[in-house]
Amino acid sequence: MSTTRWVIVAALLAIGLALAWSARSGPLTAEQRVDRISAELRCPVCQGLSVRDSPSDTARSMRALVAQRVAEGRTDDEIRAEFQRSYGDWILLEPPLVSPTGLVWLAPLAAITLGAWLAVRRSRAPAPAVDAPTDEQTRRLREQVASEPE
Amino acid sequence: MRRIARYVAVALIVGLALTLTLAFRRDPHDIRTGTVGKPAPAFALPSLTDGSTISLDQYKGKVVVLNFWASWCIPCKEENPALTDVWERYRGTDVVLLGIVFQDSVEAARDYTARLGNTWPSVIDADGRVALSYGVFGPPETYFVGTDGIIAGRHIGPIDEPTLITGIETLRQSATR
Amino acid sequence: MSFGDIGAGALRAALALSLWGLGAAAYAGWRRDARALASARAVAIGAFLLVLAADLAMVGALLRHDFSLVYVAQNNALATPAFYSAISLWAALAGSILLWTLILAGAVLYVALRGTRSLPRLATVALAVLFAMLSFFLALVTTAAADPFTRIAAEAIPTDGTGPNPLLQNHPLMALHPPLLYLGYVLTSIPFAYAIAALILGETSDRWLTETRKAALASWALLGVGIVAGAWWSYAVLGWGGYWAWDPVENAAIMPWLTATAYLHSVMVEEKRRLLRTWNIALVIATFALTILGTFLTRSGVVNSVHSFTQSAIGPLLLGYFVAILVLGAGLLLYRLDDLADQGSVGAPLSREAIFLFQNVLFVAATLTVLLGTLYPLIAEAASGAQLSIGAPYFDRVEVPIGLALLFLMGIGPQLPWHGASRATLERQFTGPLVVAAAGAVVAVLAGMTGVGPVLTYALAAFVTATVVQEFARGVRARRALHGESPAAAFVALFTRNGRRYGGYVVHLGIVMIVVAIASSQARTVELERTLAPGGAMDVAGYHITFAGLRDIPEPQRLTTVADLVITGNGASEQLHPGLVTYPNSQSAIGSPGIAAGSRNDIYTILAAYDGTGQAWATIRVRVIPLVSWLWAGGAVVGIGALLAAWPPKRRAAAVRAPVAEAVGAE
Repeated sequence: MSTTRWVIVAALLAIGLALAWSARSGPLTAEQRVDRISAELRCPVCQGLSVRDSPSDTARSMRALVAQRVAEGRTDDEIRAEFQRSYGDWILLEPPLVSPTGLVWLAPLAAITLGAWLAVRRSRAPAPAVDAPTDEQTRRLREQVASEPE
Repeated sequence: MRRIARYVAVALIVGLALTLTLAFRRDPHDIRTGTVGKPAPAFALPSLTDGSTISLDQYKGKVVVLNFWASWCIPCKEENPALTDVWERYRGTDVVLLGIVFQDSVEAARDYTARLGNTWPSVIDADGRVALSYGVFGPPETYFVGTDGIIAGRHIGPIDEPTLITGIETLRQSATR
Repeated sequence: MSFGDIGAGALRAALALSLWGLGAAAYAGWRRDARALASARAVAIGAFLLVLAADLAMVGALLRHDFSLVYVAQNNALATPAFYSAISLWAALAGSILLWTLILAGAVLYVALRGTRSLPRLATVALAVLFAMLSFFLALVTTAAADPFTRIAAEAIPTDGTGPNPLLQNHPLMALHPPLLYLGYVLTSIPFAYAIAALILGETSDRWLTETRKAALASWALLGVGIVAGAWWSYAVLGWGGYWAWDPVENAAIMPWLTATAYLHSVMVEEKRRLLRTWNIALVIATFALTILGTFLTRSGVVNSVHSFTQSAIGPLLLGYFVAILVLGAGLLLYRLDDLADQGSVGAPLSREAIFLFQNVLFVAATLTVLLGTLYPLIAEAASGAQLSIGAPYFDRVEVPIGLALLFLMGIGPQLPWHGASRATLERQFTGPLVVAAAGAVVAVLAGMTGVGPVLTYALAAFVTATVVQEFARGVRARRALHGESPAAAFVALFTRNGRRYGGYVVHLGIVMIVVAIASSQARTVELERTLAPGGAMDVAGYHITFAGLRDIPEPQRLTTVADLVITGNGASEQLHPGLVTYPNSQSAIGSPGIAAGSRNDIYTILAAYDGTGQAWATIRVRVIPLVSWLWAGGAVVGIGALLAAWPPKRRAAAVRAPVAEAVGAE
């Protein structure tokens, strides 16, 4: 394999390793759990902000409640369910009806797949690959152009 | 291919137009809570006047009107006369009016009560947990709890006398039945 | 004669003129009648001047605090400073529609005077379409739907108004964000009008694309910069520490921008290869339709949002307008579908046009998912009565992968030749950038980024930057070899000779900056909230924040309570004053953050709560947000790049030089 190919392989390997390294996730700290759950709860008094982002009093007392429940050892689902009992499904920014198997997740996937299929169909006949000019050709062309009157 | 495109285009446009037209039927400010129809969450909070504990189950078997308020809340001032009138009307009967102060300080709340001359009991929800358990959005909010302990209805925003009386009377009648 | 009389009269006269113009232009287009066209041109000038007079009359009424007008009474007060009075023109529904109408009248004028001289027949029909649109908006502002000059009965005129919404008087950026957005929105009507005209006339040439290129680029750039300005406003004014919340109205603005971006690229495919014509027309129609949809969602009150104005009769009217546009556009397109069939096919999957096609698919998928996410709560409630929310978690999860894929395409697309690339070409073009990408990934890991998304973002950002630098280097080298210019002169000449391409690269660099800013600020923000007494301190990410005390600042129109903070550590020395502002007519306080911006980190402080009685404590929230300034800088770079791309190229004997120039890589 030429040097270039080795370099390409090495680069791709490095990227792959970096991604794999970053993908590892240990257990979350309590604060990270509170953050995560708060990010999925909607602040009742704001326009679409999550409980994590909103500086309002209501959001802060909700965060305090989440922190207490996390400290008590409740699971994410139990904590979310507690708020759902009080506020309804509306309080979840990622509603249960629209779980990973729901329509709203399928739609983007379907759109991309359909679009990609149509696009690939359009690009059926691969035209003969046009090579970039060799250095010799380039040199000759440059001479030719340079000698042309402006 | 052309025909499919035509049908798809028509379907999408009609679908979109229908969705948006239907959207007019809803009021984006009308958000239904999860607690209506469920048992009223229990609580035991200190009274505003003397600090003694008032709990929800000491009113078991009565019609309870819970009014969430705060001293900085302007619509709360607006609805105060209605609450005063209703309190006068039902005082001593099996109907209870209880105020719950939240997101506020004890001093400011006491000051407010004194200034307006309110005589019905209020308790203070210091950490806002009780408000959260009821699904409160913000003051003022009023909850109607029946004699069976179930939340029968909720009103967001300043409430007026007719709404209060209708709610109370409906609960009284369903209790006697 | 009061301002109200002038304004109302001017608008009604403008409506009459606009209807005349519609008739004249339509007739001129149908019968190729020169006199009718001349009359339409004159009417365009008249209508524009009248609408301008109406807008100025409203500004005058606001500056003079003329409370006999409902709009002024509701959006102005005696205490409102002059600057904010003037910009209250777009503070609420009726006034903002008035501004929109002015810009639209300007677009009509432009097409009437400039457009009809270069492409007479097409522009005349386009002019008729634009006059129809102008008439609709003038009808809105002269009827109960959105008449800004509605009067209050003489006996009920208040002595003072309620003043503008507190959020709108907090920051001078209110002067910039709405007009930028409206310019972006309204200018999409020019390509749309031409597209409709082309369909009506059965035009098979692509001349209208070149003709509307400036308008398309301008609307795209203004919309993009307007959206970034909105994000900056959200960050600097709303005070929650973020810049984008997938609010329905934010979504409404980004959807047409996404389709416009797709269009800017696929248009190049049409120009070079004469392909994708149906697709391009569909994109133009969709972009314009989405701007109307956006206006509808903002104004009709059907979604609850930061921007929602009160409900008025305008909702159903805008919805009707939107449906009419879709039906007209789709109908004409389907009617002409056979005439627009492509000759030839897209090249190999690894050709520039194929990449552009994939990129278009992704942009449209992104648009559709934003649309679905925004409308789904409405659909669900209408269908089953269930009330749900779709917020940031959904949008982030779907749009981030699409964004990363687009970033990748942005790197390889411009480097691939038309028709297809050989393996040798690929190796030559991409080896260098691939190595830089690997370096980017390593940097990300060393910087402590966790999560596949951020690391991949850094790698791709490095990749794209390397390809752009490579292109510039190659261009400079070619020019030096051809013309013997100095490096600096060659660099400048790249923009003057081929502004579209190299300006486009600058835009790409701006986008890279924005993407890196988003990835860093989302992944590595550190936050802490503490309740402190005066003299207390807290430590966040190496910064030491001392709370000095609370202070009141009374002003005629509002009362502000600020917390004085001193920030040290990490080489920083700042004083910040986050506060809470109370306006007399609003019960809740508006937060005003204290921000220390930096090229590496922003220190963002919020006064969340404080002791109202004794000022003995304050709850301070501090966020250390990395690289968020790159967002605003990136937005500026995108704007500059768009300006460069609009630079008219100096072409001499282009037809002869083009194939040669392409071979040596200067084109």
